[in-house]
Amino acid sequence: MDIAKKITLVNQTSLESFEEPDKLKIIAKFTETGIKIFDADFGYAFWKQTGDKNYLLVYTSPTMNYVPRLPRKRGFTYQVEKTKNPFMGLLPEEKNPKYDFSPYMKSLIIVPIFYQNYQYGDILLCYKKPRLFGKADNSLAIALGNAAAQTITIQQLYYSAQDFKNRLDKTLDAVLIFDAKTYKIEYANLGATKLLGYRQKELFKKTIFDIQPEVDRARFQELTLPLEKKVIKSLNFETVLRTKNGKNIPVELFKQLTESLAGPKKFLTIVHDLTERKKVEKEALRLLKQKDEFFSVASHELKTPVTTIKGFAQLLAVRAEKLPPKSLYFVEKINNQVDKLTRLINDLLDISRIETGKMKFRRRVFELKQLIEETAQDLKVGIPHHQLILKLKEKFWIFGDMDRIAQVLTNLINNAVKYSPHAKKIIISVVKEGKFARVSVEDYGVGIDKKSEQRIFERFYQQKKTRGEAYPGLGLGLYISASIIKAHKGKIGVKRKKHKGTIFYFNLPFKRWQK
Amino acid sequence: MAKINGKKLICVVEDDPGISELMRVVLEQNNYEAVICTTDTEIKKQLAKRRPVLILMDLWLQGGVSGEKLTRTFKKNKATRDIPIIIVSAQNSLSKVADRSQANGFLSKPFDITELLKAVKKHVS
Repeated sequence: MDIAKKITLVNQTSLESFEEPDKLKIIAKFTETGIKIFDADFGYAFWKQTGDKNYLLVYTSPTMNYVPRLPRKRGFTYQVEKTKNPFMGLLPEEKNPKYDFSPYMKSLIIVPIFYQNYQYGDILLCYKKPRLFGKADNSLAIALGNAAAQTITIQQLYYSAQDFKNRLDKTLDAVLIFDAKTYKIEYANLGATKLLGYRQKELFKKTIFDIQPEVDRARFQELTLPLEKKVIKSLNFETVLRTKNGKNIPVELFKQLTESLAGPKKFLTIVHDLTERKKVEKEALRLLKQKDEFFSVASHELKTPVTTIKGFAQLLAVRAEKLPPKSLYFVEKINNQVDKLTRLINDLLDISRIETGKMKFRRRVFELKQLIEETAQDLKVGIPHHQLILKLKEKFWIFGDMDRIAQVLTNLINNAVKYSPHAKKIIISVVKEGKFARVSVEDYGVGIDKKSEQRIFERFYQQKKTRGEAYPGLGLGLYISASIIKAHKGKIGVKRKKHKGTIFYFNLPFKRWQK
Repeated sequence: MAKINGKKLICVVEDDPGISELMRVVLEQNNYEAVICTTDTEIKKQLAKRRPVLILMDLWLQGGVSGEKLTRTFKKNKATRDIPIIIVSAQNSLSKVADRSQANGFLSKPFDITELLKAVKKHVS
């Protein structure tokens, strides 16, 4: 067999082996080829399994019916491992009879199979009779080892890529890969074909814009610019994808721009189908709306009898002089409680409005100092045991909903009253703080604990009762107040005082200010 | 025309018997004559019969025609648009409804009797 034929045989073997997934079998195949091209009598293939020190042995022998078993330790192979070059020549002398193979072989070739620095294994080709080797034999042995190493490496890469693709193909989330310049779809997994109703081949004829109706080329380039510029590593946005039968599916896309040594930049897109989520969201919104409607009707229905009770109580108060003593006092009690009931109903309605984003504001410019004075005046009647001290010097013109701001102030003052059963003084002040007017309500009551300070503006939150004191209410007032102030681009907060009491405050941006 | 026996007539469009009774008592005590209408047909009949000086209009009425729609109709009609209408309701955002329907004022339920009388006096000169 001439050298050209031998080379062809090696190349052919590497092609044939490509289909074979087992690395051990690839080496076996090359061993077989090696026996053929070197005209050897028999051969061994050694295989070093990664993470396992044991050598595996495979033999091929077309002419012999008996092949001696080689022990594991063979001094002459170490030399090969060191130099990474083939060994060919007479069997080295061995003093230990246990390792002496001279009865079976006189000459041998050892072909190491290296890839970079990793040795996959080696091939032993043995001769019963002594044999001389030439330069051509050495080159051929190197070629054989390289071909085997390359075949194993390519095969390994191919199968790991194949394995990866198989797994990707089967994932239920849709995955698309498309060229970053032409936008042509180059890969679509099973999830994508299922979602879009196209076959893979059909998708490969399309660009991303054929299936992504809401985002055109210009918009897409704008969106993905930070990816191109590497400002961000991944991008996600919600849009719709159009299926083969023209249906739009709500999706969230996760995009990455991938670069590889092998080819141009590509976009990798993972698609989350949001159909179910949108359905749930829609249903939740419907329920929320239904709840809001219910609250509207319920509050209306509750207010109707309240109106009657309040009205007749007032009628009774007018005639109290003609009634038994203390009647006026009782009627006033009824009246106060009805007012409280009305506030509770309104609070519940407000909560529902905040949740559905339906709280409406009637904004116009008003003067804050006057509003505070009027609100305090209105409240004074209902809180006979407390003293409201107003420290108002400056005037602030605010653009906002007067009634809602009055509601916040009323809430803060009522809270101050509620939480200071043993202290009389409540100080209301307003001062300029940058571009904001800061309204404070200070009391000398039971104060607030540190935990409550963090959570006091949460819905339903109420400070834990101490010393067996009970404070009425639903825990909605401050939550509503915070929502109102937030809608006015202001800030609401609380300060704990070192000694007694609390300061609640809110800031509102003002239009005009006067000392 | 609105005065008989020297008393001014006020129409209370209200389908809750408790509230309409209350309003009637309050109005009569203050020397007005009150007539209660619970549906749109009743108020229309009343307007044809005798013109009131003021209408106190509830929003949610029996029979489906809302107080807002009624107010709008009256305000569009040449014959009735000069009659002041005050919307009285427990519904939220009354000011908006009043603006929309061109009512002359509004009063939120539950109301204070003094507020009711103040509103009435303001529109009945």
